[in-house]
Amino acid sequence: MQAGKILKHAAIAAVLALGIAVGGQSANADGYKVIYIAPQLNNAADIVIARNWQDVSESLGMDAVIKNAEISAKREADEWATAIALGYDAIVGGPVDSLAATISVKKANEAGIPVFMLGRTSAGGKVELIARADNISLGTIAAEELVRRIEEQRGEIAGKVLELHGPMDQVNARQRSEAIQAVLAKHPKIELIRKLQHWTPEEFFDITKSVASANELVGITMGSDVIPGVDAALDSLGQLKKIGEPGHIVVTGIDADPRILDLIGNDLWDASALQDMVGYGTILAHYIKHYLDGSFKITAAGPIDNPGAPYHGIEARWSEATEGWQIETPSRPVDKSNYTDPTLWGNAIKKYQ
Amino acid sequence: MADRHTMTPAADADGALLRVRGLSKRFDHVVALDGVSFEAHGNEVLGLVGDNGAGKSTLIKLVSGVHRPNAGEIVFADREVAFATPRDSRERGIEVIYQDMALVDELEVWENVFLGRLLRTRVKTIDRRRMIAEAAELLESLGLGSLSPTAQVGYLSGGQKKAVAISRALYWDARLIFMDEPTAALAVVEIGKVLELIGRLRETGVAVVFVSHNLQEIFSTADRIMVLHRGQLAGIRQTGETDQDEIIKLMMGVR
Amino acid sequence: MTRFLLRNAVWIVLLFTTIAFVAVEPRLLSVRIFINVLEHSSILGILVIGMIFCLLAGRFDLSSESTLGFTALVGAWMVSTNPFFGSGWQLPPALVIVLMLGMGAGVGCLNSFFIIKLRVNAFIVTLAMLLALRGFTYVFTNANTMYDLPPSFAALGGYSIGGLLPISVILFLSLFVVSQFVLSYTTFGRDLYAIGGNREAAFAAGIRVDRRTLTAFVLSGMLGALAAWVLAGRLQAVTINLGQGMVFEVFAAAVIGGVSLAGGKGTMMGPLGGVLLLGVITTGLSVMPISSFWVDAVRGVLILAAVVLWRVTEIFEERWRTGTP
Repeated sequence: MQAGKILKHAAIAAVLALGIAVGGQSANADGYKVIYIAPQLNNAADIVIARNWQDVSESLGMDAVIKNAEISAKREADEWATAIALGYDAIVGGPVDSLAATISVKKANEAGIPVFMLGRTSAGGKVELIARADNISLGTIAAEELVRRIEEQRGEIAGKVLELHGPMDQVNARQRSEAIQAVLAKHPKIELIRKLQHWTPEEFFDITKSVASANELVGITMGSDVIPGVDAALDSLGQLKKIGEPGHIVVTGIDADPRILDLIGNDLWDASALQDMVGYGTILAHYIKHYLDGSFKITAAGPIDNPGAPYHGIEARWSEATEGWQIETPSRPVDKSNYTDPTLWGNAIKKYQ
Repeated sequence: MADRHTMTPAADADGALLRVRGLSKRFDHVVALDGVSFEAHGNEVLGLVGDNGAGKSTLIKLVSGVHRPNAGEIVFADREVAFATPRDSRERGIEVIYQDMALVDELEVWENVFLGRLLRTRVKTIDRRRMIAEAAELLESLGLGSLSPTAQVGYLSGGQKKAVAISRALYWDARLIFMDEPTAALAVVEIGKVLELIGRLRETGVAVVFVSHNLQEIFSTADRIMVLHRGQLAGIRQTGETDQDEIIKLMMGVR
Repeated sequence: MTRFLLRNAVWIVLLFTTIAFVAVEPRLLSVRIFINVLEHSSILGILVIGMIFCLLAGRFDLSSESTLGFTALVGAWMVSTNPFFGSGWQLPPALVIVLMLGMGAGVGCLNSFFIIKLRVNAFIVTLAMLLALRGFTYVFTNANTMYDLPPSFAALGGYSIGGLLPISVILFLSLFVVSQFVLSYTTFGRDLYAIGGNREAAFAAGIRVDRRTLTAFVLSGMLGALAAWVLAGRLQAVTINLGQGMVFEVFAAAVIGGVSLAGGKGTMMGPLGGVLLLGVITTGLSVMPISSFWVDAVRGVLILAAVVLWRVTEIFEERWRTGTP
């Protein structure tokens, strides 16, 4: 299947190369040259991460380039080697394979090029700053929102809850699921039904439909709501009711996909824990600019103190493995009260259409 | 499409049903057939002999439309023909019984008999019942009554398969039948039956071109013997006017 | 009798698997779950039918899953009423459906052009087609999920008679019956067996081998598009990874159902049993209180067991065949 990925991403790469070529003309010729080597650009979320980082970087006067590793560790190593040879002022990674990428990071370190990480990280090498979403926060908020709304809907926190979780060998899937389980474990009357899926809409639909057919569910939550299928399954069972209607099954997700924002607007989806891809990309772009200018560097753990910068006040922690700093942008719930917020990535993405 | 051809035996002035002139075929740089000319008549068995690679199979495939010739003309029943596919040649009444590529093992006997020309009902579905009945009748008439038309061909013996292949050619009332090694790999009793069948075909006015490695069979069955050597015609002899020595010499290219 | 049992082994396995699942999890014994199995099976089933046409002719079509993904996404893109993620055209559903089926047929034509006219290996051609279509899928949609599909477009996949029996189930079961009829009673169906059994013999017997093969691929492409329509309606949304990886289950169902990968051998009804068996396994595992960690393992082992069992019955049949004069 590797060949498949290469070819399918070649198509996207071609489209992106076009975009970059056009975008490149407006770039500041005297600015820093920075590059983001994306793990993949085959879904809306990864594209939003890349495009937003590029937009913000260019608005700060940097010349920002995106390359695509196409979910291939080898391709990723090649892109890193090329970037190092071309002498970029900074390299931003988001590794396909955290161990394999460590070698590339060390090569960049030797070449004296500062390395940053966006969304994911290498296992080692020196990384100046890692900016990513806090999976624990994502899972916790999804579960807390679920519990709170079940109580609102049913009067008590009790009943069967379905959790659709991803493969446990994926760090993001595991951390989110563990956080969800930790919250639900505090409520003894909740019976958790955990089901494995592989991020396909067919599985989301089939599992939801089967479980909801055999069980009276009070709530559903999942590792990512980028994948559709849950609402359609409930709809086909006649169980998709508006919030507040009798028999409404509370549904919360993680990521806050654009489609989910629409469902929230229609009172058919309760809440989603936002993965702030726009936020951490924006933060990283600003930090890189400040870092290269020499105007600001994180020097101590704790809330970052640089008033006026978008990362001001965010907790920085030292990462032993990558000999540098990391920030994990906390999640926040998205529901009917804030689903039209233009800074949500699900709304921001619309400008890239 | 008429199910059976209304048969009119050879109508050429000198009785030739098939006339071939200067037939040639190259495969890349290999000349498989080089300017071969001959005639085949109704009511006659023409023996076709030659060493391996002499061009016997190529000749059959050219006349039956499997391959297209590079040069030469084929006149069948007074009309020049250029068959694009075997389908065309079968529709004109030319049947080939191949030594190995004739039957589909996965299918039953009746379906092999009707392969490529399944009979259909008025609503255009296949007429399974009628084909089974006709296949049974045909097998019966050939003295093969013990062979069930619904037996799967893959389960049959070599002789039984050959019988199915021959009966297929017969069902369609062919005017010209090529038989490529019809007796190969058969038991003695079965060989006798096949040769007897060839004799019977001649009586009905059909032209038979009979390929065999066994000269005894050729001499006992064929009216004339045609010899190929390295793609060229080495000679054609009346069976009564030649002997095995001469034929062998022709086959070996000794003149 | 023995032969009958061997030929229908998959149904017996299906019966025993179902009994075993129900014994462990009595909640599985309900009309609703039964219908869920059928509904789950419908997409796979429609793809399997197309694959069988190709397999019987001695070819195979790896591209059907991406034909599904591609036509679903492009169709949803053309028909979506969403102001941001669709094409904005909001074409009439009937037209979009015709266009989707046309694209499916077009993929089939392209496949057979390369395979028949240029004589490229079917594996390479359809694999390349699978990759190319996935690539185009990304280009078309910017990798976005397409949603806001008009109700009339979604009806085939989404509507259930009396809120219980989905139309897609009726469609898929009738497609199996119709295609079994085509295989048994039309010259097209019989010719496929002849072509897959012995292509040279079929050609020598005057069967239009190329034309029949083309038809098989076109049918496979159109069935892929039909499955796309059903699935898009069911999910009320289409993602770029729709159908990805289904080709494995398509082959598994065909093989479990006794279709020979070498061509010329098999029926529609056997693979229907295979499709339902996979459906029972998937649905059963999602209802049973089995640890998530075990699902993939159990599923893989059960499919493997079914394939092995099929092979064993085949060996028995070969013995039976060679042991008989």
